[in-house]
Amino acid sequence: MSLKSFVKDDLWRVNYIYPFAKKHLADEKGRFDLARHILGAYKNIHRVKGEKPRSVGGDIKALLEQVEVDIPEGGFVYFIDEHRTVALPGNVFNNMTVDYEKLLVQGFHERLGDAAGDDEYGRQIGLVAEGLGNLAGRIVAALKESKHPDKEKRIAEFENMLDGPAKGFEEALQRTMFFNQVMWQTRHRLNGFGHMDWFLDPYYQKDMASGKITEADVDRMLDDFYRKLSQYSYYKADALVGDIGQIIVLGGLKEDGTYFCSKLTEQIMRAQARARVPDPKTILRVSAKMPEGLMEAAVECLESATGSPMFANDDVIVPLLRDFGYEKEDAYNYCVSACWEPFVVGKSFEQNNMATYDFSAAFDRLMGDLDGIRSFEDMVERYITLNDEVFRDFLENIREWKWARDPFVSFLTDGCNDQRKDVSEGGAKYNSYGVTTVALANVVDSLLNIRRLVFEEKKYTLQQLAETRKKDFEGEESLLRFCRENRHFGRDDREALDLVDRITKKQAEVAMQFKNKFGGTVKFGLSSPGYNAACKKMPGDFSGRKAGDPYNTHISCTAAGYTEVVNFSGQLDYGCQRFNGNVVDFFVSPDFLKQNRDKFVMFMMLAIRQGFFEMQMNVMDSRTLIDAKAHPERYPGLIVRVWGMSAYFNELPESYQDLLIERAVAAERTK
Amino acid sequence: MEPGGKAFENSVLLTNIQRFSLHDGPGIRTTVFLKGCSLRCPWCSNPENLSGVPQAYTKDGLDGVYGEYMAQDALAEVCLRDKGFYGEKNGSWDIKNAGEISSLPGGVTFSGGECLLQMDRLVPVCETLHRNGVHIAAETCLFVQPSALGLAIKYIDFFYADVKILDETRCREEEKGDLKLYLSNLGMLLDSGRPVAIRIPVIGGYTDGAGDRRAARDLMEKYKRKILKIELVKGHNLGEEKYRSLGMPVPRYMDVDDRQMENYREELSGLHIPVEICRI
Repeated sequence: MSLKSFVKDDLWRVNYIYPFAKKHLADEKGRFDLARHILGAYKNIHRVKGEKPRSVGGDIKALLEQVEVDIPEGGFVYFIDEHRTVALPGNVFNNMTVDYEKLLVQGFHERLGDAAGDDEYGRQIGLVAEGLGNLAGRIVAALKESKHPDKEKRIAEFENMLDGPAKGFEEALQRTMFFNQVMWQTRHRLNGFGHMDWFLDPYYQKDMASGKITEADVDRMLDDFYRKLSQYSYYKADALVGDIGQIIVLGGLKEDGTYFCSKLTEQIMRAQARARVPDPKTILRVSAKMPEGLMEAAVECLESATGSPMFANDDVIVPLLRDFGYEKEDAYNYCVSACWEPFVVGKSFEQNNMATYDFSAAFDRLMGDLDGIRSFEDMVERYITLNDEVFRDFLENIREWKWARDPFVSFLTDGCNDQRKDVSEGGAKYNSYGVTTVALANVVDSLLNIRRLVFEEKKYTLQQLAETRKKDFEGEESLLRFCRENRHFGRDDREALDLVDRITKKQAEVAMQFKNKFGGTVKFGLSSPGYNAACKKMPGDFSGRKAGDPYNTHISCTAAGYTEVVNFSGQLDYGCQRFNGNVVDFFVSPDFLKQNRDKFVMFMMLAIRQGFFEMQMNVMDSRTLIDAKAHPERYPGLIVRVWGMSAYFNELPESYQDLLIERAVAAERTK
Repeated sequence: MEPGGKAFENSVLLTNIQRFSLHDGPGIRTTVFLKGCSLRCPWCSNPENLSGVPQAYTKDGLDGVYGEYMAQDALAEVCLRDKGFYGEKNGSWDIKNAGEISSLPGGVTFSGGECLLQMDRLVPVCETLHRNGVHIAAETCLFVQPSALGLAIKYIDFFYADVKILDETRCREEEKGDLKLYLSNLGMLLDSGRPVAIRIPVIGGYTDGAGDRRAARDLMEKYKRKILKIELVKGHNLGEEKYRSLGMPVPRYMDVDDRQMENYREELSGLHIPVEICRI
C-alpha cells in the first residue's frame, strides 16, 4: 500500500482536512505553502462527532444539528458552514450527482417510510433524517426572525422540505439547492446537479401554464441560483482552485428516440452565460435530432467565455452505454460525473475519476528495455506488453480502495434500500469504477516518429534515441524540432488512428477482465485532468515534449484545424469500456466566433454527425491571455477552461497559464 | 522541369490547402490555393502564388519552397476529407438570387493565383468531387484563355469573379492584363447562367478613384440581372511577410477608410444588387 493510500484510507480520523487542502498539492507554490494551508485548514475546520460508538449517520446528524444557519437578504436560502465537517472512515463517494428528482417527487420522510427498518441500515438513514429535520427546522426558525422579503414563501418551502412533494418550480429549485448544500456540508466533493432541465420541467410547465411564474421570474430565480452556487468556491474546490464540479446536464435523447429540450433548457444555459462564473457549469447533450435553434443558443452562450456549455454527443454515447450493459432507460438518462464521464444518476456507485493512468509509464519502461527490438512492429508489441503490465498494476492499486459508509447517498440510490446495503458495500445497481488517462497522444506520436527516424530513415539507433531522451535532448535541437513538427495524433493520419485503437483495444481487454470488490469492472477514457500533473516527473518523449512538459491536452492537436481533430475523434473506437470521457478540446478566438456564428453552428451540427464523443472550447485569444499573465490586476474576471472545469485565469498555477497561452497561439496559427 | 511537362501531367501546382474555410463561398469549405497568376496586381496579398513554378524562400532563417505538385487523385482525396462538413446537396445549385446562397452546401473552392490557369488539370479533380456530391466554387480574375473559362463553366458550380482596374491602358501597365479579354470572358461567364458573385478589391490609388468606381458601376449595370451580389473587399497587408521571404519589395498603397467603403456601397445601391463590405 502506498503512503498516500494509507493516509487517505486509514488515517481518516486525523486526516479529515485532506479534501480541503488537496487543491494546494498542485498549485506549484511549494511545500512550505502547502504546510501553511494544511495548518490553516486544521485551525479553521473542525470535525463534529456524534453518538458513541461513532457512526457515519451519527456524525452527520450531529453536524447538521450544529452548522451555523445563514439566512440571506433575499432570494434562495443556501449556505455552507465552512468551519464544520465530519471525519469519515475511508474515501467519500464524490464526483457524482445525487438524485434530486427523488426528493422532489416525494418528501424525504415519505420516502423514508418506504425504506425505514429496524436494522442498522435503516437506523443510519434515520439518524441523517433527524439531522436534516433539525437543520430545516432551524432554517424555518431563522427565517421567521429574519427580514427576508419572501420569508413566508421560504418558510412554507422549508416546512415542506422533508414532508411532501415540491409544489412548484421555485420550491423545486430551492429544494434542489438545499440538498446540494447538504451534500457539500457532509464532505462530498464535486457535486453535480444532474439533468436539471428534465427534472424541473414538469414544475416549470405547470407553473407557466397556470401563470404562477413567467420567463422573467425564472430568469431572476436562475440568476440567484448561479450567484448563490458560485459562492464558497474556495471551500468547494477540489484538485485545484476552480475545480468545483457543479455540472448541470441539459437536453438529450429520450428513450423513445426523440430529442428533449424545452424553453427551460435554454433559460438555464443562458443564465449560466449571464452569470459569467466558471462554476456551476453546463453540459449540453447534443444529437443530430436536436433543434438547430438550441445549438444557436449554445454557440451564443459560448461567447460569454465561461467554458460552458460543453457538448456530449448522445448519438455516440448512448449506444456505447447500451453495449456496456446499462439498461435502456438508464443509458438514455445518463448524466456525467463532475467533468465528463458518463454517469447514471440515482443508480450508480460509479466512481469515474478515481485515478489517472499515464500511458507514458510504459513508454518510459520501453526506453529502458530495447534489447531485441528489430522493427517498428517489435517496438509496438513491446510497448503494448509493457502497457498491459503497468495497467494491471495500476488497477490492483485501486481495487482495494476503502469507502466510507454513506447513508444519505445510499438512501437515494436504487438497489441500496431493497438490499439493505450501503453504496460503500456495493448496494447500488451499477458498481463499476472509472479511470482517466493521459499521454496516449504523446506515446503514439513518439512511436510513429521513432519509426521514421530509426526504422525508415535510419538516422538514429533506438539506443541513441534513448540516450538523447535521458539527456533531455541536450544538443539535439533539430531532433526536437522534427518531433514537434511531426504530429500524428488528432490529424488525418490513418496510422495514428490504427495505433490508438490497437493500444486501447489491448488495454480494454485488461479492463474487461478487471473486477472490483463489488463485482463491477473498470472503464477508461482518453481525457483527464491530469495532463499537467502526471507529466511533472516524466522524462521527455518523441512527440517534442521535454522532461516535465505538459502532456497533450485531451483529444487535441495544436497542428490541426477543427475539422481534422473532429474527424479523428469520430473515427476512434470508444467501445469495450473506453467511454469514460473522451473530449475534443479547442481554442476559438472570440472574434472568430462572433464573426462566424452561423457557420460555427453549422460546423457543430455537422460535427455531431462525424461522431465526436464530447467537445469543449476555450473562447479566448492569446493576446488576452498573455496580457492577463503580465497584468493580472486588469483581468480579475478572466475565465478559462482548464480540464472539465473552468477557472479564473489569475488563480491558476503558472504552468497551466503557460500551457493555455501556448495552445491559444497554436490555435490562431492553424486557423 | 516546367509545369506542363510529362512528369506533371496528372498533377496540380498549389501552395496551400486550407480546411474549415469560412470566407470563400457558401458553408464550410476546403480552399485550394493554386500557384501561378495571369495578372500582377500591385496590391496582391498572395505573392507566393504569382509565379507558375515552385519558388525557394527564406523565412526566420529557415529555407523552404512555395509550391508543390500534387497528384490529382491525392488532391481530390484531401478535398474529400471534410466531406462530412460540407453538408448535403439541397435542391438545385443553379441559384438565381443572393438570398439562396446560404441554402447552398459547403464544398471546395479553387483560389490562387489564378486557378483557371490549371483548369484542364482540375477537370479530373472536379469529376471526382462531383461524383461525391461536392459543390465546387472558384475565385477568378477572368484573365484566362476562353477555352479555360469554357471548361470552368462546365465544371465549376459557383464563381467569384473579380472586377479590378477597368481602364485598358492602366490595366495593361499596372496589372499586366488584357482588358478586352477580361470583358469578353466576363460576358461569357455571366451569359452562361452560372451563379456569379462579383468581388471588387477597393485599393487606394488603384481602384478607388471616382473614374474607377463609375466604370465598375457601369459594368455592373450592364449585367445587373445576372449578378447575385457584389462584395467590396478592403485591401490588407497580410502578405508582407511572404513578400519579404521571397526577397520582393513589399507593395505600398493608400488605405481606404470605412466611410469611403460605405460611400462606394451607396453608389452601387441603385443597381438593386446586394452589396456587402468585406474586410478580410
